[in-house]
Amino acid sequence: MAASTDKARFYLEQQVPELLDYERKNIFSKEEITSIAARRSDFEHTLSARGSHPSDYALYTTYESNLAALRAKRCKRLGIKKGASQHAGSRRIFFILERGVKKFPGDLGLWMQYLDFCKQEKAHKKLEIVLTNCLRLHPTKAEMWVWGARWKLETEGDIKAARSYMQRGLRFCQKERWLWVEYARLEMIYCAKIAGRRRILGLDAPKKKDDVEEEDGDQEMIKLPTITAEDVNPSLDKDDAVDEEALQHLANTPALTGAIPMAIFDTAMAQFKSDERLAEAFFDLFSEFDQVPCAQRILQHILERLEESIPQSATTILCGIKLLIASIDRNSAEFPAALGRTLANIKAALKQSPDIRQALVEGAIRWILPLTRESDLDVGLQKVISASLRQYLKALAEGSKDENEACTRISKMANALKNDRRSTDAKSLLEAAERQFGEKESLVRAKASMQKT
Amino acid sequence: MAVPTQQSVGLHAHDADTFYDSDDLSDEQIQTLLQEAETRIREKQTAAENHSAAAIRIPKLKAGELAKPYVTKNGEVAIADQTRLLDNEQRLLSNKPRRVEDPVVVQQKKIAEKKATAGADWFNLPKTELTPEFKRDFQLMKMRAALDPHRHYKKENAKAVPPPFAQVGTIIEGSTEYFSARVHNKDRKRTFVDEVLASENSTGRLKRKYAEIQATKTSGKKAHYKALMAKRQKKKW
Repeated sequence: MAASTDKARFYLEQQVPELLDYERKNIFSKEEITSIAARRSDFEHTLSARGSHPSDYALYTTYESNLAALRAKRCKRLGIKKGASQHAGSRRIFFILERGVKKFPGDLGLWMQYLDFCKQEKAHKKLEIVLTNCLRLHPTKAEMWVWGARWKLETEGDIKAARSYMQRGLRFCQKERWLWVEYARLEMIYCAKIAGRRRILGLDAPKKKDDVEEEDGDQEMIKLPTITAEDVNPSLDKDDAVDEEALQHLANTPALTGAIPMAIFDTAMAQFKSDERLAEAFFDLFSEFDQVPCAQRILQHILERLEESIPQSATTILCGIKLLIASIDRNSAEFPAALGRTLANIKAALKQSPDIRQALVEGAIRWILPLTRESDLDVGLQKVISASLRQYLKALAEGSKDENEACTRISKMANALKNDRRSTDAKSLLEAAERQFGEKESLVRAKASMQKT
Repeated sequence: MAVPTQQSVGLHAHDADTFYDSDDLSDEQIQTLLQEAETRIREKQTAAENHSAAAIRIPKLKAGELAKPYVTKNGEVAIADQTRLLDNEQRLLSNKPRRVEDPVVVQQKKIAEKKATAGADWFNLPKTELTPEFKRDFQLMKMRAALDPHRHYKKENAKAVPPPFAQVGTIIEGSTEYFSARVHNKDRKRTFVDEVLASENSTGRLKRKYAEIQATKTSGKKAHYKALMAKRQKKKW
C-alpha cells in the first residue's frame, strides 16, 4: 500500500470504537454507519493524497460538524447521555483543522476557521495555543493581534493579556498607524469599564447621606432593620464602608485620569513625527468615549500637542472646535445646542482663514460623516447634520475650479478614508457626493473600486 | 422659504428623499430645528428619567478585515462557502470545453515537429537526406585536402559524421564571374565525386600519388619483414 493510503487507513481505523458505539446504542442504523464510514474514507483519502486543497479540509469539517449536530439531536431524543462518541465529533474537527493548518500554514481562512471553532466550542486553552501558533507564523498581520486582544477582553475580561497582545503586535507592526489607535482604544475601553463600574457602584460622585427615610412602603410589609457588617463588627468604619478620601485618591490615580492613553498618543506621535491625520484619528477615537470622565483631559492634551507642533493648521483648528462637542453625550439635551455652536464655529473658522479653507472643509466633512449615520438621533438633528454635510460639499465645490475637480477631490478623500479603515464613512461620502453633483466619472470609478475590495 | 413647521420636521428620518434632497437650511432654520430637538429630547428624558442611570456606551475594538473562515454556521447546520471551495483558475477551466488528448502522443508529436527542421533561426533547414550520392560527396569534402596540393585547409581528424540538417544546392555563377571563377561546361558533372573522377581520368594524379606513398610505405618495413619471415619459414621446411 502506498504511504498516503496507509495514513488514511490508520486514521479510519481509529474511528472504529466510535462507529461501534453508534451501532450498539442505535444512534445510527447499519446502513447509515456504512455510509458514514464511506464518506470519511473518501475524505481521509483526499486529505492524505497529493494535491489536497484547503477546501477539502473545510468540506470535511462541514460534514463532521453536521454529523455531530445530527448525533446530538438523536441522542437527546433517545435519552443517551454518555458514550465513546460523545465528544468524538468536535475532537475530530479539531484534528482535521490541526492537520489543515499544518499543511497550509499560509492560509489565514483556515486559521480563522480553527480559531472560530475553538471559540464556538469554548475551548479557550486550545484557542490560546492555536492563536499563538498562528501569530508565530503571521506576526505582521496586525488584525490577528487585535483579534486576540479583543477575544481576551470580551470573553475573558483579561485586560492584562489583551494589552500584551497589543504590545506584542506593536513590536511587529510598528508602522501600522491604525494599530496604535486600536491600542489606545483598548486602554480607553478599560478606562470606560472602570468608569462604568464606578457609576454602577455609585462611586463616581461623592455620595450624600440619605437622611430622609422613606416611609411610604406597603402597610402589609414588615420592614426589616438595616443591619450591616459594621453593626455586627464595630471595628469597621462606622459611618460608611466607603472611604471618601481614598476614593478621591483613587479617582486621581494616573490609570483613571487617562495617563496610559496619553502615553500611547505621545509615543505614536514621536513614532510618526507628529502626523496630522494620525492625531486627528486619535482625537476622533477619544471623542467616541464621551461618557468617560478622563476623555476630556486626553482631548485637551492632544489639542495642546497640536497647538505646540502645528498651531495654525486645519487639524488644530478643527480639533479645537470639536473639543466643545466631544464630551457631550449624543442623546443628551445639551447636544443640540452644542451642535449648533460647533457648526457656527466651523463657519466662522472658514471665514476667518480662507487660505486653509479646503483643508478645513475636508476635516469638517470627515467629522460630520459618522454623525449622518447615527440613526437613533433626533429627527431635527439628523436634518441639520445632513444639511451641513451638503453645505460643506458645496463649499468644497466653490473652492475648486469646477464640479469635476471637486468630485476628484472627494474620491481622493474617500480613498484616504478607506485607507484609514473608515470604509463605511467613505461609502456614505461617495453617496452624498453623488446626490449633490450627479454621477460624475471620478465618483463612479471610486465607488467601483470601493466595491471591488 | 418659510421656517419649517412642526409637521415638516416630523417626517420620518429614513425617508431618503426628504432626508437628503431638501433645500439648504438657513442659520435661523437650523437654530429652530435644534431648539425643537432639544425640547423633544428633554421631554423624552423626563419620561424615562431613571432609566439611563448606569448605562455607559463602550465602543468595541475593531480588528478590521480578517480572512473569512471557509465554513459558517447557520443555527446548527454548517455550510461551506461555495465560492471558495474551488480555485478561481480551476473554476474558469471547468467552464471551458475540454479536449482530451493522450499526453504521450502529444509529446511525441511535439518532439517530431521539433526534430523535422533546424528551426526558424536556420530558415527551417530540413533534415539531412542520406542518399549514397550525398554520403560520397560528404566523404570527399572531408578529404578535400588531398585533392589540390596548392590549397590548404584546416586539419579535420574527426570521423566524418554527416550533419543532422543539410541540403544540397547548386551555386549559380554570377555574370561577372565568366572569366575569373568559372567551371567549364565540359568539367561540370552531377556530383563532386564525378568531377574528381573526371579530372583523375585526365591527370592520373591521385593514382600516382598513391603509388608513391605505397612505395615508401612498403619499402623496408612491413613488406620487407613479411618477405623475410616467409623466407625463414621456407627454410625450416
